[in-house]
Amino acid sequence: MIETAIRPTRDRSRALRARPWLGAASLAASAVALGMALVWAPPDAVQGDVQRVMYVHVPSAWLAYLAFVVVFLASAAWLWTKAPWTDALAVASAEIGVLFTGLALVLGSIWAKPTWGVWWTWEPRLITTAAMFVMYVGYLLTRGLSTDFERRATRAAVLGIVFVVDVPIVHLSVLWMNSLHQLPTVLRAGGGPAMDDRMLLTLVVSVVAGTLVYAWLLLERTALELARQARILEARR
Amino acid sequence: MSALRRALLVARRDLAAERRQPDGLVAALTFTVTLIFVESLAVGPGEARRPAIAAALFWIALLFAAILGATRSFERELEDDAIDAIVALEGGRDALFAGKALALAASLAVVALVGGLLSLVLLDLDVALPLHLALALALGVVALPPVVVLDTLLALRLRARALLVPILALPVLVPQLIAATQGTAAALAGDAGASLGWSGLLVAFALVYGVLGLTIVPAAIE
Amino acid sequence: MIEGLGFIVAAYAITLVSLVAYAFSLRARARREDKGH
Repeated sequence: MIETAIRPTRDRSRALRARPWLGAASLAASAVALGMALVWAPPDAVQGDVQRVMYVHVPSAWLAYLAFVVVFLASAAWLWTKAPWTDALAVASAEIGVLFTGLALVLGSIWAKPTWGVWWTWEPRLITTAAMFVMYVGYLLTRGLSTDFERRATRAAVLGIVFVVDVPIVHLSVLWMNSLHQLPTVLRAGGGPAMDDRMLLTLVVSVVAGTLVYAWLLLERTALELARQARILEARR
Repeated sequence: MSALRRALLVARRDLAAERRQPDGLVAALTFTVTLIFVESLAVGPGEARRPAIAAALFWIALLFAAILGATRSFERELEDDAIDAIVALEGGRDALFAGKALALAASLAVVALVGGLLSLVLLDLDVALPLHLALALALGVVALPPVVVLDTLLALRLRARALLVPILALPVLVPQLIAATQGTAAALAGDAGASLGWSGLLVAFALVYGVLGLTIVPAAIE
Repeated sequence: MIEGLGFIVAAYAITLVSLVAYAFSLRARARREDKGH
């Protein structure tokens, strides 16, 4: 069953890489977002210009969530269909998710120092995000330690499903335990966002740009994994 | 045979093995007690008496006892390839997971009792709400095993699993650790509302990961 | 002088550098894979 996936995998790999328009689109969108974030958006009434760090920090966090939800979906798909491309998608999204989570933590720290006065505090959202980072590093480590293709994919898939539970926990932890962190300003249950219009627009554009970057990196990384899979599966024959 | 009976069978088998050769449980007890002792020393008896600190020291020790306990439980199976036999039976995988989790909870209950009593004595702790304390301990003991058993099962045939299981389990157990520690500390200090609130959170996590584990284990074991 | 300029620069620099570095590493890994591992 896995052997017959070899040729389609190779073609799909080549097809994926022929998506330069996605790369161009993400670069263009990023340039626009950058301009808006650094120049067009107004400085915050309380925090001043430092608040602009939000336009890289918040998208990083959301993209990390997105990446890990994709890992979950790909993991479930693997357990259900055992199709190799689902495993390729899972590892690709996990790797990129780790990147964005790390970025979110570092950027959050950089934003925290001038605004809260400390580089780090032990409050629920930070704790659970740091935990999320370690989880998916563990996910990649577990894959690295596995030798057999199918068992590696199955192990990873189980982790991908168990770990995704942390994503809602990270977002909701701010509500459950009163803390220093921003109360959710955009995704509040009931009522619209509580932010200046220009800031909101800049944030939305930044998230869109970030999503394009994520999608592009995801395709590239998945293509790489599909090529590796083709090699491994061919070597079996 | 119902799923529950199958799980209980696996659990009873595990506990019988423990009783036959108690050295594993004794080692876990010794480890936990030593850890609590050393932690208290390091932090200083004055600090260690504070409810939040005492609770944290206790639960960290219990967390590691849980990981050791799960390792012990599965190593026994590996020795005589019993896992394949259990898995081959109908509903065997669920029973393996549930049974091991139940057995681990039982062992942890013993460790919690001994470790808890020792902490009370060594640190001369004041217990404002003993019933709330018992509830927090019981719920914590039940909330830890599903995650630890699942991760141990997953890493079973991997190199470096002794390092991998803590890396996989500890981040997932962060909310449970916080809830158990805060609930215990609140019970020691006399805040009934807080203690019950945190205990409630523990129930939620125990259910979520228990159900998730049962759902996913059949796919995880070949 | 913009208040907190250092923080802003650090944040955006880290973001751009890490994303670009990752993209390049993907390119390098892909080339290595094409060459036949």
